[in-house]
Amino acid sequence: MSGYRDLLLHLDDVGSNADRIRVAIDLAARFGAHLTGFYSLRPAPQARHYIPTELIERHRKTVTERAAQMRQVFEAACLAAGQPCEWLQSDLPPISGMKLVGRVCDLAIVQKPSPVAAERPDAWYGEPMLPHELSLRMGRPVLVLPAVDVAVLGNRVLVAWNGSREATRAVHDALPLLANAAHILLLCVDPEDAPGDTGGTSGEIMARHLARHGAKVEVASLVSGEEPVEAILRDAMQRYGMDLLVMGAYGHARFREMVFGGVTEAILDGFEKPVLFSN
Amino acid sequence: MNASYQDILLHLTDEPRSKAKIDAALSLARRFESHLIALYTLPPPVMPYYTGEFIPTEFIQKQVDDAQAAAKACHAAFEAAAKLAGVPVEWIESEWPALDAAAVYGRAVDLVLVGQPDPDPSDAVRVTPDLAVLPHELALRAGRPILGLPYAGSLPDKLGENVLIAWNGSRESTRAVHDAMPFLLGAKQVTVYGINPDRDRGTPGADLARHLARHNVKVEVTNTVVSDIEVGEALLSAISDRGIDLLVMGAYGHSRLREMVFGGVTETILDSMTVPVLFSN
Repeated sequence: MSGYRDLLLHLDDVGSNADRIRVAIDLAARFGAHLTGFYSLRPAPQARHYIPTELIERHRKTVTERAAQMRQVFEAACLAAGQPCEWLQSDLPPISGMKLVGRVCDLAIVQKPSPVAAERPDAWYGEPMLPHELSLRMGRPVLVLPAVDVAVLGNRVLVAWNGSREATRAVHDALPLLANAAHILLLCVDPEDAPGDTGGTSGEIMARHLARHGAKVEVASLVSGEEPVEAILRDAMQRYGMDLLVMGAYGHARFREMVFGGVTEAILDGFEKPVLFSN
Repeated sequence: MNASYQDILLHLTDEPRSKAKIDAALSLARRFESHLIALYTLPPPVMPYYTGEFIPTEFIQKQVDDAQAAAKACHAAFEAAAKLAGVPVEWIESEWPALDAAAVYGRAVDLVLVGQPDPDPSDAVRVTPDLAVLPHELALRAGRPILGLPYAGSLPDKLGENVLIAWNGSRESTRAVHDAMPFLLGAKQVTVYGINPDRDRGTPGADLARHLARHNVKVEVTNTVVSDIEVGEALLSAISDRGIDLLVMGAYGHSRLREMVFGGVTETILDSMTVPVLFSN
């Protein structure tokens, strides 16, 4: 609805923080938003047997030092850009911590760990699942940045539309970005269609609605058939030179997607463009 | 970016309180400068099961004719009222089940207005099963906020001056708060009513207040601790004690099935709401 006033950025020490800080500051400046950096302190190692106190204290010291470094990097970048910011560090693991503070933000920004970083021995247990969990349970949109650097974001937007509740959420949560985009394509893939008595397809009805919000949208429609939806979306992103994908997360149950695979997981796992997810 | 409801969908059907619903919808549409879409769902003909094999065609035809006449009358009343109010409107008539039609059209608007099901309707035959659960199901299926208008009493002209946010820090309550933003921006008073705030389970109301301040919404936070089965009653008494005219709440934080079996806040409020309620999931 109203623009993004409050952005939340997840920081850790496995990814390339400089990139995501730059993207987050760009976005915050674009919307005149406040920016919060969130960092989880790693818990002390646990073992079945006795752990010497010194070990725990040393661990504690290392992680607080790392947090302080991260904070310094984040705050210096914000200061240089004149960006109002805030630092939050927490003993909660990334997923529960981000979920807790993310409920009172307008957009959470996370970055997919690079395959190398995810394999690191000190990578958080469960952290690769951060984008998945947030897009499902936070109740606010999540912008998932790829492991590679992004130059432009939100100039040419592809909206993946199937007429579902989740797609509806994603479209509306992306409105501040859509209102500023130069080109938007609403791609209807196997849409659940409207009762045929009036008004055209659900994609056309949505386009009319978005026009009232000042977003000019082009509509295209296709049936996926044999081809997996993620491949269709990837092709479309490439063909039209899009720099942001907007889509609903987990239209099917999470469990079902985990077992049978699904579009959300496929996109989260192997997509090299920024994606805004909502549920 | 306009922080307002650009378009509103009003669900109508053949029922005595259409006039009150139309008036409430027009007053909201005027306040938010929205485009108002009326979705009129034609009640399906009633098939008596006790007549054996033969049902006279005239019997069905009569019902269809009556339904169409009622729709026509309602359409005329709607257009006349809209013209008087100076609100741009659109009329959609659908033979689809109310729930399916409202879910599809509801996804492409910013607010969906539905009536709370009348628990004791004068013409019970006309209340199809999907009408009886329309707000419940829509809150789950539309992905847009649902404003439920209570069946009893007249609808307040200035609804949303004194707003209560039922806040438990969940995914659903954050959805409801953000979907209610245009109301919050226009309200005289907004109270965040924290229910069983618990740092580990939900985001505290004070954090919400800070976030809303960045949206230029000033709120007052108050917390209460009640047992899980009393949350609905606690909300209802807060509404009457504080003279609230709009409740904002997340719908079905617990699963639908669980609420159906054990009862729950959403169903309690839907059954006994005394003021308009904005639901989101």
